[in-house]
Amino acid sequence: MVGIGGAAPERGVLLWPQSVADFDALIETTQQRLIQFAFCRLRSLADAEDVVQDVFVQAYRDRERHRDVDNVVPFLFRMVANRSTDVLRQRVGHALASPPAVGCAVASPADAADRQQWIETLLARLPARQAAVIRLRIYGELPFDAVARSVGCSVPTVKSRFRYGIQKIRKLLDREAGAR
Amino acid sequence: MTCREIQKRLVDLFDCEPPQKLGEIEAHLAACDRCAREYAAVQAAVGLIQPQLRVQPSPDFKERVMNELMQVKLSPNPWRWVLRLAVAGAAIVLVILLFAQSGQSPALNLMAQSAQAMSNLQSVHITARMRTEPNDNFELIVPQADWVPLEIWKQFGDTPKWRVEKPGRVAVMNGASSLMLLRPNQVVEGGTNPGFLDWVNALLDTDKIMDNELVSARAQLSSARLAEQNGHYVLTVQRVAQGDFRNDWLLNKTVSTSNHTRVYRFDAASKRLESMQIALNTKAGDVPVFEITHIAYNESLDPKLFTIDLPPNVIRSLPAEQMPTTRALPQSPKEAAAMFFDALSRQDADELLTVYATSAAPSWLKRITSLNVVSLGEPFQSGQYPGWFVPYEITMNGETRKHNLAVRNDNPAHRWVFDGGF
Repeated sequence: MVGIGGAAPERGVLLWPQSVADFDALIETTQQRLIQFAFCRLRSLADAEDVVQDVFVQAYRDRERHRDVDNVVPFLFRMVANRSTDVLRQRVGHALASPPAVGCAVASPADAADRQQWIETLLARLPARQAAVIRLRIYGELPFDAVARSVGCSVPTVKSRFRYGIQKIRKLLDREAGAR
Repeated sequence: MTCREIQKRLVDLFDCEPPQKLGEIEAHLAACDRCAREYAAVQAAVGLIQPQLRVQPSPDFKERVMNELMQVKLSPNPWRWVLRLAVAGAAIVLVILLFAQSGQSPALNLMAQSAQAMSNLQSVHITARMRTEPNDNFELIVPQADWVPLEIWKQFGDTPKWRVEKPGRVAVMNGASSLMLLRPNQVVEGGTNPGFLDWVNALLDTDKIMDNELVSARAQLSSARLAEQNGHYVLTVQRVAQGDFRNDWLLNKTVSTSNHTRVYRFDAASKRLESMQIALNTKAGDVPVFEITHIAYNESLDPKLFTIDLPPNVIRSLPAEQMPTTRALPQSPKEAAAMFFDALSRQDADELLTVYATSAAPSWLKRITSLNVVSLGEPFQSGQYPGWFVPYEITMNGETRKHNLAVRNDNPAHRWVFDGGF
């Protein structure tokens, strides 16, 4: 069982950087999490890195406008989420992998990629807002208050979306299991 | 708490840092099989959607992003070659972060090669332009001003000589002493290393530019990044304004008191400097304020370059200890400013020369037909300037002017003298 409660916590509050040197530090501390977050949706390290690079550049361009933002990290995740959606829309005709057997062990990176595609197919069947919250919490390892900042709503609303989203996943899994 | 309420709050157990008050939920789960089964089911569902693959950024990811940021930082501007370098980021074959702690870093190798290649320099002639005022000092940056030409000549050798010139002033050093003419007729004398060149000194040491920049970076006065591509080395230096800017009057007004980016390009084969630009980093974006447009090495320089034909009736700058003392001296920055304006308003040359360190009253004194002081504010300091600034508002020849008068007393006589801002 994966212990979600022990996932990496949000690492403090970071103001929106205003200099190249500050961006250097921000990239250092957030690059892995943002790329991981993008990779979970895009399933391509090259695409994930392109997306995160674009986001850092955009964040740098817009730094003056966001000078008053008191925590840049949730915004970066939102930007990565939006940019990943754009990339997915641009992809055409990509093949869908066959869903793996539920609960089976992942043996290789290829298996893991297939598994990730299956997870995304599952999340795609949820209301978009619920899926967005689940991705930020689980892929992005953001605490609920940071997820709330990222999606722009209250913490109770985020928790509610997470709860209903997980309920929906359970129903989908039950239905899948019943179909077998 | 009912089972329904508990199941609603189970989500709290899935936060990164669950709230402290979970004891009631945990106690309930321990006692209620139905809720415990529900929790286990949620845990299982969450576990199923956990990513099974943890990826790591490519080793050069951060480097690529930083190159891209530098490209953004430097655009839009006329430095197209820099943009080309950055756009072709994938083709950069060498990116060296400085401060290599061990071993012989490529940066250190390059520095050594550069110093060796430049050691046989006989002369350098730099043609440049700067956004500044033609008649003001060599440090001043005026981002909204037109480009002002600046030319530098240096003769290397056992007895170095140099000349630095812009429209309003020219400075020369003949190997033994230096002289600066503030056109039309004021001269300042100095030694072989006078203070009036300000930051231009860095360019005069053309053979040591890379060395000096890397030393500054190691001293953490700046950050530097060195890259190689297509036969060129590009050294990008990020400088932060030096000094105390609780009053930011001087911030971004001079090269040394500005946040700016310097980009040097060296020829990879000869290690010689080919070009250099400075962009001022402002809230509104980066503004190019200086660029070298041409460099010629080992030209034969005319010895006359290192002399100045002085006009007749020159007015010489005086050391403070040689200034006349015909009346009570000002004891504070504000008193010095008050005396300066009082002298101008009364056309009193003697009084003016009590705080104006020249051998005679400047010619512009006669052009003041009327001057009234509206207000003098409280003196303040800014940046690394050793003197003080006195805010003033005056009406002069029918026009209102608000500015800050610079006065200083960091001379051996500790005498307050005018230093600019009029």
